[in-house]
Order: sequence, then structure tokens, then C-alpha cells
Amino acid sequence: MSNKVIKLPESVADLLMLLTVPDTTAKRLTLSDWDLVVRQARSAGLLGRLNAILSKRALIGSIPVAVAKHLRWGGIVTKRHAELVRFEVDEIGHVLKSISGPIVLLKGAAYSYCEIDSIDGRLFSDIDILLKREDIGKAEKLLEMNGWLATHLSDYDQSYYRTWMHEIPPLKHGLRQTELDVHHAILPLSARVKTDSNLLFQRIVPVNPEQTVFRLSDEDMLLHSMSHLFFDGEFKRGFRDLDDIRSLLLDFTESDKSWSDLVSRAVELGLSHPCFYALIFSRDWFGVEVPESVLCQLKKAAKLRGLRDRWMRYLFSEALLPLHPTTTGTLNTIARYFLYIRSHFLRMPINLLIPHLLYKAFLPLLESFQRKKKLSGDAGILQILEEQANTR
Amino acid sequence: MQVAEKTILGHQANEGLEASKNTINIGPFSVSISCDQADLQASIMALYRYFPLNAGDFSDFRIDMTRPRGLRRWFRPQINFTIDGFLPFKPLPNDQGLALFEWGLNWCITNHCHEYLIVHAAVIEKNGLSMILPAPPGAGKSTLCAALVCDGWRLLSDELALICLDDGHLIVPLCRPVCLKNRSIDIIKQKYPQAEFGPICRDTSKGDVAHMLAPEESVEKMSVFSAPQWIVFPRYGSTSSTSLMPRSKAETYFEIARQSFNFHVLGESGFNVLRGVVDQCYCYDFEYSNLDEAIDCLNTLSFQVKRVE
Repeated sequence: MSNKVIKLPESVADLLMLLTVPDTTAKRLTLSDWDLVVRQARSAGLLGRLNAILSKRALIGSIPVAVAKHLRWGGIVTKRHAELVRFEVDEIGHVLKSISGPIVLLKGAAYSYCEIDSIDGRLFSDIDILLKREDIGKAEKLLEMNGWLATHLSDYDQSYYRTWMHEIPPLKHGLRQTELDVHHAILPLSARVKTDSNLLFQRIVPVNPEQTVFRLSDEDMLLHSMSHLFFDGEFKRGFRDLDDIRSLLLDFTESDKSWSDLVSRAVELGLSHPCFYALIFSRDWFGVEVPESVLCQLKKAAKLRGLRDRWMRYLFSEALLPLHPTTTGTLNTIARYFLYIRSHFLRMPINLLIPHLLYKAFLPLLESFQRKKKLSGDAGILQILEEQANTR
Repeated sequence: MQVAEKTILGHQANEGLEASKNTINIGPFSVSISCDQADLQASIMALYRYFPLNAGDFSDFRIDMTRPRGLRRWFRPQINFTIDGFLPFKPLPNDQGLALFEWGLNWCITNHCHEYLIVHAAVIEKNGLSMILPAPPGAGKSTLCAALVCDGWRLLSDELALICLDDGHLIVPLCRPVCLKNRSIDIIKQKYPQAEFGPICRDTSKGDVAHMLAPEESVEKMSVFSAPQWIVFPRYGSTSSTSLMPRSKAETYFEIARQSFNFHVLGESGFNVLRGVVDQCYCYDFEYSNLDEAIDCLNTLSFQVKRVE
């Protein structure tokens, strides 16, 4: 059939097996196998995940002590991340309690706050929330009054985010340094694929007792995770993100939801393309059982054919590998680069993209010029101060 | 097909480096080092010459010290510190490789090893009890540490105090070389001619840097943990007279928390460990300018407190 199997990447075979069939793999690995697995897992940000997976199955005691130590270290970090997410989300819920619409947690913050068991032990870097677009202005003011400050201060960045992006410029808490992305959509406004946020809001699920903070529905959470990975150009944590998707998929298939719900929602939201590749890789690398008919429907809906499909599969199979010297090489770098460029084309039409890239390319030059100007200004002040001191 | 091919290439590249790989046990960690320059490898190994080699299949950190590709390999050559393909630092001039290795290893430990509370402090031991010397750079911590070690104290660590999270709050020795800067290098070399040194790295971001080897006896006792008894904040001032003043536990607590690398990662357990350590220690502020007086003062302290116990 057309949906032929993508080869299992040999370079990370042991890491993959450990994630998918931990019981037999943990017993099989030799110390030198573990050496490689630990290093790759560290690069992929999966040490805490492995700790959670092996602890849950009471396998931590049966693996070498030196290895268990690294997993435990990873576990300490992810445990702390989970505590911080809980704290920050409650804080954000409190700060934004007067906005009219719901606060929806996205991605890592949602998995962590809702304690989704299958993604226990995940690292996260920032908190993402989705608000109704009409709430954004008020929310931004409230957040700023409570210490969340804008990070991208240049006029260009500010207007770029506000005109074309699906989020306002990222915020950072002045004291705690946690980063917060406030979204009003899951894809950029300028992107080819448009996903109506109202459709997402229709199915949100409350996660706190006060019913002020929500998450996306099961299928929307999955589709958002998929679109984020397969439309984006950043694959640094791609392997970890794919593991998230496969974990969510396992939960999804165990619930009473059916595959047809997922397919019809993917088509409705215009996300059949990322959904197809997410399912293909979950099946071929992580052994998730996906019905052939589901793949065929998605492939048809996404209009993926022949060469283009094969090319995309090749690029993803390179870029999704963990960034580690044992998995990467020249071809890998090129594949990642291609996908990076592709993500920009997906994000904005060419008439917007070219000026944006030109601006970004010459930005360092412009900034250094501005800095020089500023420095010479400062030197002037110093000179004046010095003169004053001398006359005194 | 291409996936498989690349895998093989990847492994080959890796095995090429392994030819010159050495694994050393440094405190509780095993560290594999491979350099693409024999002389740097030799000077790192010389700095750690008393440390046991590890022939096992597993190492905690695999570090590559390699020259960058491209122009800077040949023109004013530079050197990179890499752990599993990741570069925590920008490259440094080639002749600062030794200092870069030491700083890089600090980075590895402070960013990963969260079963200890890690504090920026020197730790030395006398009569089975240890003294923690936390201090910001420039306070004369390493100079004092080097002098006391040459005077017979046991070296546990010069840069990183690893404090166990369990109830005993014992300190885990690392015994890495003492990093001396600028004038301190000559002061210690003149005062203690028997002290062994690595080569001097000139003009680093911290000035001239040289490493004094951990004495063989300290390295031999590397697996013996030690109970902290004193926390002493040293401050060198060129005109200071030697003075040892008691310091409040609350102030001590906050200063150590500030000097800690992973207090924020450990959360509640970090808070509890630090409280335990500060509770069980005598805390002092220590000013000095004359090294002989300073050594006498701290030697006396080590006996006085013991008798009180």
C-alpha cells in the first residue's frame, strides 16, 4: 500500500525501544548500550521521562545504579518543573480572573497541570495559554501589572507579532523569569492553513475547581501538538514532542473516543496534513497501532501524493531524530534546514516573508549601529560627570 | 537507506575519537575526556594524575575538547568544549584549553547532578570535620583554600561544594585542582615550593589562571564523605587585619542560597538541606590580608571548636 513503513532509525533504536517496550528493553541493555541511551536521552530532554516510565513499572531498581542516577537527576528537574507549572498556572488564573473568556492551557503546561499520566516526567520551557482575541488587550495589561513583562521590545518585533502572529510577543516574569506565551490562535494569522479558534473554544474542558482554567479537548490537544511539531521549523526537541504525541495517542485510543472523531476533527480544523505524518511516525517508530483506513482518509484530505509525500517523510525522518553526534550528520543538517525554510513559507506568504527575512538578516548590523550611537551618548554623560568632578 | 548510511558514519566519527579517550573517576563522577590534540589531553591527564582511571563501559559525562572546523582551526586557533554535541560555551583561544575544560566540567556538574545541593564554595577538612568557604569571585577563597591545603588540611573541593540531600548533610569530595588566579599563583608557589601546578593559562577572562593539583593524600580519601562543622565567609582586603566575627545564621542561609547553583531546582528539599547545614555549623565572617595569620587563625578555630564539642 501507499502507506509503507518508515524504517526504524537504528541509531536511536535502543532509546525508542526503551520508551515503547520498557520491560524487555531495560533487561536487555548492556552497560555500554545504556551509556549511549543516557547520552541521547539527555540531548533529547527525555531523562525525566525515562525515569517516570521505568519507575512506574518498578524497573528502576533492576537497571545499573550508575544509569538510574542519571534518570533520577532528570526526574528531579521535571518534578520541579511540574511544581512551577502548577504555581504559575494558579497565579495566571488568579491574575486573569476578571477577563470575560476562558483561559486555555496549551501543550506542556496542559499536560503537566492536568497530570496526564502518560506524559509524566516531561521537561518544559515556557507556559502557553490561549485566550479569546477580544480578551488579549485586557489580559496583557493585567499580566504586566503583575510582573509579566514583554521580551521583544523592538518596534519591528512588536508590530510583527501583533499583525501576523497567533500570539503577542512572549512575556517573562520579572522576578521568577518564567516565560509566558499568550495566544489567540494556534496558527499564525498569516499562515496558509487557518484554524478557527472558536471551534477550539467550543470543546474546552475545565481543569481547576474554580472552572476558570481549561484545556483543549482530547482530540484538539492531540491535533495542536501535531500541528505544532509538523508545521514548525524547530526540531530541536522534535523527538521528545513526537513521544508526547504517541503518549497522548495511547490515552486517546484507550478512551471511548474513536479514530473517526480524530479524522473528522483534523479535517474540520484543516490539520489533516500534520495529523497524517504524526500518525505515520507514531506507528512506524513507536509502534502505535493506527488503522490503515485512518491514514488513507487523512492522506486523501491532505492531498498528499507520491514524490512529495516521500520527500516529506524523508525530511521528517531526519529532523525528528534527537540532536546528538551519533544521529546527526551533513544530510541531517540539510534536512533540518529545508524544514526550517518550509516552516517560514507555511507561516507567511512570500510577499510578507521576503521583507521579514531581509529585515532579520540586516538586524544585527542595524542593532550594532544603534548600540554604537547609544554608547557614544553614554560616553558624553561620563565626560560631563568627569568634568564636574574636576571642577569641584 | 540514507538513514542507515549516516548512522554508520556517525559511529565511525565517534570511534575515531575514542582512540584517545580516557575516563577518570572524579569524586562521585566518571568523566570521559577526548581531545583532538595530544598535548591538551596530556596536560589534563597530568592535572588529574593521582585520580583513578576507569575502564568501565559507562561514563557520566563524555567530553570532547576539539578544535573548531573552518578558519579558526588554523588562524589564531581556538578550542571548543563539547558534551554530546552541545557547546555550553563559546570557543576560547587554544592555549586556554585547560581552563575551559575545568569550567566546562563545572557546568556539567552544576547543570545535571541534582542529588546534591551544589554551592559555589571551597571545602577543606581538618580532624574529620569540614569547613565550607563560600565566596564570590575575588574574595580570596581559592588562595586561602590552597594555602590551608598545603598546610595539611584535606582538600574536598575548590569550586563546588556537593552537599548530600539526606539527613546527614555530608559533603562529597571532588578533589579537583585548585584554580588560582593572577598574583595568587606566585604567592602560593613561593610559600609552598612543594605544591604541584599545571601550566599557566594567560589572559583568560579571569586573568592568568593556574591549577594547583590536589595533594595525593586528598585524592586517596576521595570516597570518604565529611560532616560540615564551620561555614566561613573569607574576604581578602589588602589592609585588613585578621578578624573572625560570628555571623548570623539567617544571613548565612541567604548568602549560601545565593551562591548555590541548583537551589531553585531542588525546591523544598534544597530549602531543608540548607537549613540543616546552617543549623549544624558555626558561621563566621573572616577578613584577612596576611596569609600566615589567616592560617594560624583557622587552625586555632579548628581546635577550639572541637574542644567545645
